[in-house]
Amino acid sequence: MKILVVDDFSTMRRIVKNLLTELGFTNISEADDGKTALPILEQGGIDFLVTDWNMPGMPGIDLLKAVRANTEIASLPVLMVTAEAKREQIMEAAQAGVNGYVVKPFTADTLREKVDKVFERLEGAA
Amino acid sequence: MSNVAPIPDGGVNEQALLLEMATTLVSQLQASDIDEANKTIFELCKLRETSLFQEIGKLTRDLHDGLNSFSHDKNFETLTKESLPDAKKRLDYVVQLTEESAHKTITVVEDSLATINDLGKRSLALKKYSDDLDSETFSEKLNEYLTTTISDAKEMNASLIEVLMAQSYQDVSGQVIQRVIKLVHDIETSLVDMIRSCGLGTEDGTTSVDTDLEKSSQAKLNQARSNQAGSNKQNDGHGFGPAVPGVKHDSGAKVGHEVVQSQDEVDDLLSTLGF
Repeated sequence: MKILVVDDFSTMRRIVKNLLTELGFTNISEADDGKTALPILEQGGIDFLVTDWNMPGMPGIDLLKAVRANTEIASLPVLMVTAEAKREQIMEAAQAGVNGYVVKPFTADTLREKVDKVFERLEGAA
Repeated sequence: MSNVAPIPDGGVNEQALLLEMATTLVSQLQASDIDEANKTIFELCKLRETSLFQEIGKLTRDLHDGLNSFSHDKNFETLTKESLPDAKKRLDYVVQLTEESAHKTITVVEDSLATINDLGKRSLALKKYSDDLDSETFSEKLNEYLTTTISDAKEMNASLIEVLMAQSYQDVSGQVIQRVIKLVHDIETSLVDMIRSCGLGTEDGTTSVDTDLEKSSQAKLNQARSNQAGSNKQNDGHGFGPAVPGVKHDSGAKVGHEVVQSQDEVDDLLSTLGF
């Protein structure tokens, strides 16, 4: 299981990476923007994407849409971890096909719960 | 700027007048006619004062016009009435976030120090039994020791996760500060624009603001204005930044624009959408 963590704040990337390690995921890559993340995803081999929304180059919502538009990686599970908290944004992410949405600041338990849920649902659907 | 009174232009007329007065002054002085010379000097000073007052008058009028146009400028009004008070709230929120995180971290460190010190003491006591070769007591004490250590390790793990999570203030406060920095830029460009439109000119007729700065600031100002106009479009999909208590988000409180207050609300909203 290989995970890509995308956030423009390096501190948040380290936090998420450490939490995922605690959950037993050890193969984790990082990117600091949607623009740098997309080529990595397109190369293939990433099984789970955790992304921020508000990033300087390509925001997370556009990254999500780009993933869903690319048949090669369209089914990639995507968890959004963001400070963006408007109802319309959450709805936009849901419509774009996000698998989970966590608002910052969040707790370790919340992230664990959402990650578990994403995989539970994927297994249920499979 | 319109309606500007004519000022002495330093041109041919004024030059001729000055030359005439100077020649008069020289001949009066050569004739030792001090009283008349003083009168001429007085006239000369009056001429300078008049042009100075006219220059000040022009600047005052320009400043007045500039301020008037800014008081009708919606962008400037938003800056002073909403953005600046919001900026204060945003920075207060950063102080609050950093304070909470620091306290959380310090508390966990204090607890962890106590746990680790205790672990050291217990290990030392156990080692004593081991040294004394009292195998029965040692076995019993070892068991106790292991039980406590396992539970302490679990506790320490939770503590360290808490320290880790407390560092998330850097992301949230960083985003809030970035927005305040943008506001300061907007104010800067507005001020530059005000100086420019007031025409606080230098002798060669250009404004006192560096032309390049002026151009880039004007571009930034236009950008800021178009952002303001387009703020309902989520700043081109880049988002609104963290919700700050007491700060209305850019697009106001239209339907669908309200900010969720907790992860539970996010979950509720998603469940209504079939999640």
